[in-house]
Amino acid sequence: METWRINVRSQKLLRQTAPDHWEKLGGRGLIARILLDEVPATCDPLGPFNKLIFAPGLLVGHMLSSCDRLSVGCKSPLTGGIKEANAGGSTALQIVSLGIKALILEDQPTTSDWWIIKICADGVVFESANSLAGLGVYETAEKLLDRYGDHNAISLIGPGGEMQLLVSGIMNLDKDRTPSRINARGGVGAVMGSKKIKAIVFDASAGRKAPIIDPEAYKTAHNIFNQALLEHPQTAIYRDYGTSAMTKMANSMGTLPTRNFSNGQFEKAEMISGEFLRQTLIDRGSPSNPTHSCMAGCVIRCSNVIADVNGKIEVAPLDYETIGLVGSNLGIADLDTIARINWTLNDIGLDSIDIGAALGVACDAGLMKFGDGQRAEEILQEIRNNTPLGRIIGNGAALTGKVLGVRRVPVVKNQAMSAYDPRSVKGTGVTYATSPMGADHTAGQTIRAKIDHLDPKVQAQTSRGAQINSAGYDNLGVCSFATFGFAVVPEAIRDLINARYGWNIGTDFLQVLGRETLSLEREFNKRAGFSPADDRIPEWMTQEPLPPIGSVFDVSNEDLDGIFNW
Amino acid sequence: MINVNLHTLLQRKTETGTVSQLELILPDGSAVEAILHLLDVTFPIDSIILVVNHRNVEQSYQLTDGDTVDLIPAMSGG
Repeated sequence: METWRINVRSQKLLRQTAPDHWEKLGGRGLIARILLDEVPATCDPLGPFNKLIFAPGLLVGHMLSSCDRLSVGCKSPLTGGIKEANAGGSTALQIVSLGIKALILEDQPTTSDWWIIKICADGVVFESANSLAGLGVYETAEKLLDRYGDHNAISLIGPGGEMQLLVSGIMNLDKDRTPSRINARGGVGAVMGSKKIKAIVFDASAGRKAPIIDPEAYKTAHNIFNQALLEHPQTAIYRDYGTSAMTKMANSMGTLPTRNFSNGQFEKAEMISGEFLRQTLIDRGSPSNPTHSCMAGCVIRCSNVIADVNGKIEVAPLDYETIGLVGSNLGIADLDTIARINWTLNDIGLDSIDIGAALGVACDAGLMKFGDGQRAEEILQEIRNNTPLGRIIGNGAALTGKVLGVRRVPVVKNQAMSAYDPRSVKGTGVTYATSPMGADHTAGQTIRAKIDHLDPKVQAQTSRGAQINSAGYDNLGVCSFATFGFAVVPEAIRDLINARYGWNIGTDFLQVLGRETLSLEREFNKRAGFSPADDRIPEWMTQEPLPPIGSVFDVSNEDLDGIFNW
Repeated sequence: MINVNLHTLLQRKTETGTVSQLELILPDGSAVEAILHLLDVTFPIDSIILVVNHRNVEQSYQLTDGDTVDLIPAMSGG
């Protein structure tokens, strides 16, 4: 496996063998290592010294169920710290088939021209993207597929990335060529935009599957993992109801963000629940579909396709975090409205969590009434049109709160919280506070843990374990929902890795990767100027009780500051 | 009276529709697990999250009149 460096100023490619100390890292951990080795932590995230890194996980390449995920990373223009954003879809598989361990975009062009990078086994070609500038993600993807063929994978940005909005992401095709799989968080799309790259087309038709050193051992471990995943009760829940089944669970636990995080329960939660969504999609029939996969080989298939009553597809997929932030958080109880907003956010190429949170802040400031979906769609058009209001909201909740003078802003390190209020699931709150990524549930979700989520004393330990495991899985390219399969047969990770690479790693590999990754990330943030003061939940959440439970975030600072002492 | 909310796979399909909410009368001091037995829930207990009045509880948790119980096939987030 090689490292491919593309200088976007000179448009030259440099192919290298990865250094030894990068070998056993993948995805998020490899990004952290490269950033520490090569990027000045104090650089301007949107300047020439930042690098944009595409790194598949170590297990990517063989359509192992839910294990073909892509990490994209850089110094974040949103948080000012390290960033890894993770996505499903088809890109990572093609990158590995090209023999690429990490793709690194370096430097910055001196002209205002936009470019497509076409990558194939022979090398790279730059082609003009000026005719695509300003186009939405869906139209751009369609044109690229027409031009290059639908066998390719594509990573692209929308107008949000072109405008270098701080919460813009990078979109990827799913297995059905829909460009809705987003490396969403922290402004990775803005960094791609700063390098004037509208799209990267990955053509692995002349590539080959990554070699497996011991095919028999790999097949055995593969079967063990697949069986564990298929038999796991959670697989059926995610298959039938998708992530949106979280809505009622979060509501029952009083942690569903409602009206800009002013309540943990939404009185209309039933109307945006996974149960209601599933029945609606079944009643509407094809092309609506409650069960769909984003990547080839996935046996969970947690995704969905949402079509309106006339059979017109509104968006695919609609997930819980969007339902929480764009639905209950804005007081919107209509799934079709949420789906349309989700499509527009995808088309502009924006993180639905951060924009949903920003709109919630805007509601508190009086720019929109809670429940007014039409006004939300109007504001999204302002973002697309690059108006001053659009640029405020489009740069995320933290900036929106500062400009509009709102104190109730649900962010850590300037990044918006996911759809779990940290006052009622405090372990996830610890993750929000202490993760080097900023507020991000995927960095260490604790809601599944059978603990008292309100007891401040047991949260740090729970979050630490979740953060270590999550960072480890993000090295492997494993979807969060495949992790419950590996939790049943943890030795399958060891066996798959050893069979594929001929290594001799032990059963603690996941935790070794997780700890190393977190240490690297924290070192980067330290060099960037972060301190314990950045590892805090917003003060208002420690003072303002959350209805209906009445809890505040009260995990001690000592617990927060000691979480990475291992 | 105990109010019971059934989530996802624990909802009941009946001839008249899907049942997601129940009102049960249980003897004083009944534990949450009594509901599981009453409803003949066969889902693995380790894979069910038991929530009473918004709070995670063990299956031995003793119920009080007016409690709201959520029986949730466990999920790991969105």
